[in-house]
Amino acid sequence: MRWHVIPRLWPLVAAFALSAGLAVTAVAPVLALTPTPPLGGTPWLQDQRVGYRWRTGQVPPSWLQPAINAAAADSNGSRASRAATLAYDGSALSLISYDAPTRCASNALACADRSGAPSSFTVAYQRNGYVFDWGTLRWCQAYTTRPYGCFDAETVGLHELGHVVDLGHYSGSVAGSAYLDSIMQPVSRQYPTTGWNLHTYGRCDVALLQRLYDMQTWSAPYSTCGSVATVMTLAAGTAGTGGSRTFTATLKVAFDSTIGKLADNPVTGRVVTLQRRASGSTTWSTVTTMATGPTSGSYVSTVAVTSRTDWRAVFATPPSEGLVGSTSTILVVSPTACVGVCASSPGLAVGPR
Amino acid sequence: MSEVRWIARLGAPLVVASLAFAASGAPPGLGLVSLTAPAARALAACPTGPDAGGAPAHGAARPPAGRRAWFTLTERMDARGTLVGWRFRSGPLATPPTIDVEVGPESFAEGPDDGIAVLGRDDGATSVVDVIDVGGVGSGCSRASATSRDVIRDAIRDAATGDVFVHRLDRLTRADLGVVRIRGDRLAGGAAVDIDAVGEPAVPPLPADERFGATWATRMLSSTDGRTLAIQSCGATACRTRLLDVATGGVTTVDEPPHGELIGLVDGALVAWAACDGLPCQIVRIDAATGATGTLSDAATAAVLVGGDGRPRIVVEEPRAGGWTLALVDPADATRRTLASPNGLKLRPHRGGRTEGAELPNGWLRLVPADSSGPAWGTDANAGLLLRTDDARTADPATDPTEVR
Repeated sequence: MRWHVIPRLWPLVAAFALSAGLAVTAVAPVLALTPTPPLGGTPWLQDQRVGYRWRTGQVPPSWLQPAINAAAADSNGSRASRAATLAYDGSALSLISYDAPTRCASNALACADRSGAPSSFTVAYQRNGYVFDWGTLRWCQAYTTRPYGCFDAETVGLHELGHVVDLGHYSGSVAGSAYLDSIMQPVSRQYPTTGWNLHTYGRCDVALLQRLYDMQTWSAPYSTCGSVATVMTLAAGTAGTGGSRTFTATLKVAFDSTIGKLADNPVTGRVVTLQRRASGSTTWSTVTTMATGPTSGSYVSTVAVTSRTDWRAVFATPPSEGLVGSTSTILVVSPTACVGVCASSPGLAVGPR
Repeated sequence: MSEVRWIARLGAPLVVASLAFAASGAPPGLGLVSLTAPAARALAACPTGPDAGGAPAHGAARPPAGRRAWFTLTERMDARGTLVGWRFRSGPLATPPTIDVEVGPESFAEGPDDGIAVLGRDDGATSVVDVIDVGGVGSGCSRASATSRDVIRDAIRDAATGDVFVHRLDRLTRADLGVVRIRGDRLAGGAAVDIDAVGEPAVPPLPADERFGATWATRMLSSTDGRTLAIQSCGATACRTRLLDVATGGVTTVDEPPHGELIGLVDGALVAWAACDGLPCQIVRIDAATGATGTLSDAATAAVLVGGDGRPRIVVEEPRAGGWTLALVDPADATRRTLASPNGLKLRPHRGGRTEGAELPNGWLRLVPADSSGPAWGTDANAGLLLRTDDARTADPATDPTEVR
């Protein structure tokens, strides 16, 4: 497995940390996977409901229509983002047809045209029985017993609807199980090759959709294709009864011009730990897992501070999503009633180390 | 370049034509012939004689009225929506079809040039290519036929010499067998000829190249000056184009930069779609000798090559907020001007296999309604308009624009 770091992330993160004066982001090595590239053009609105209907005179046959509708449901169900949703609507502007010989390139099973976005799109399917140089096209759905080498119209439909929502072709490796990373491979797999009937977007497809259209909720998982840096900040409230302090951590996505709508997103519902160490020590210990705070991306914990100690909040890189962990700057907290620069007790202030 | 040469070469890239024949199908007196079984000479043979076979000489005068022709290939489907073949119809411009035949699913048509079209068909055992006189008054006959036990995927006629170039695949493996040239004089005898016996190797079989993978489609296209034949083979994501110098037999391969389907071959340069994932897509100009590339359109959804002011140009349809615009672009230097789109008509989408063709005079193109679908001609209500790019003059597609004053 190869690892690499996105070089241009460093100066951006560093700049943010300097300007805020209280945050440092750790960018861990990330997987070499990159999101599916965009097709380009005007995006749809977030969560825009886009209807489609059959083109008059080129209506898909009865065996194909359910596969197309299923592909739309697949797109809606696996978008994991606020990408447009697609559904049949008899009065819609967008058209799906069964006439690819005139609308698609000669090397296409089907094709999509999203130049009408954000108003409309078109998709065209090649005819069952059309002859390419390599042989005759057969759609699996056209047969009671699917023939060897047929193409799944639902899988191809999801691929085309992927183009509609702005996914280009995936150019990553297709070796091994990597075909699972994207439904947007340039060539669809034929029955019975493994992967011939994928019905969900791959993680690299989702990664782009999240960048283009944003997350459905702040607690939703980020795609594991690529990596998204985070920024953690930590602040301590005033001392309370018995020297208790309320620490508030804030976790958000770091600003990065390459991640589109994800930049600066609050990150909620993750495991954030509060750690401390004695002044002069190099060993940190976890005090507690912070609870979800009152605002998006905030985490809170109230603990007793009985001596001058260093504090930090830690978000460890999660194994199941594409966020990169981050750690706050270190706060030096003393058992004093003041927060900030305390004129009466200089040197015992709370503040970034 | 004379207009005659331009017209002769315009037929292949242009997909424009229209006629005023009955929408109900073949006109009275025209029988529908099934050529699903490709017996050679299933089409009536043209009468032999001094005017019947050969080809117009280089620089021949403009074809006489009635020589311009059109064709359509309309899909034939079974009740389940499976393609079972095509219906080939063709005739002189602005007249009803003189030929109306059914052919199998592995069929193609090219041209017409000087009123002559090429029709290929296959029955699973034998392929036949017919050189058909469709433009002559009272015609509709096959001038010549050539057969092959391998699969003929495309054939194109050199209007200057009458030679026919044939691209074939191995019937068993569907491996590329290259292109052979059948001299016009070998076709002039009237009898069907065996391509294995008379074909001369012109372009070698396409070598395997993992950058392109399996070949999905191969198409031939003549340059606007008629001196070069392009043989373009497209893989799943990009095409490679081999250029045959018709006079010398030299072959040049253009496989970098990656490009999509050809729109035309102009002044030693490919005018082609970029290797896009979908539409809209760039249109590029690639110098065949140097590989130098320029952009003719940043984002287009349709394009055709037309003549105009004595030099070829492309008309591109480009999306704009709330609609689209048409632009006339000079492939030599990318200079452009906007074309008015009368009545909101659009270019006919036709990126894939050829399903229609016609010989229109210099500068004319056909526009169709946005909801137009499939090759539709004659009195079809969606026929649209013919537009002359030089002066925005329009004509009813049921007319021969040569007669427009």
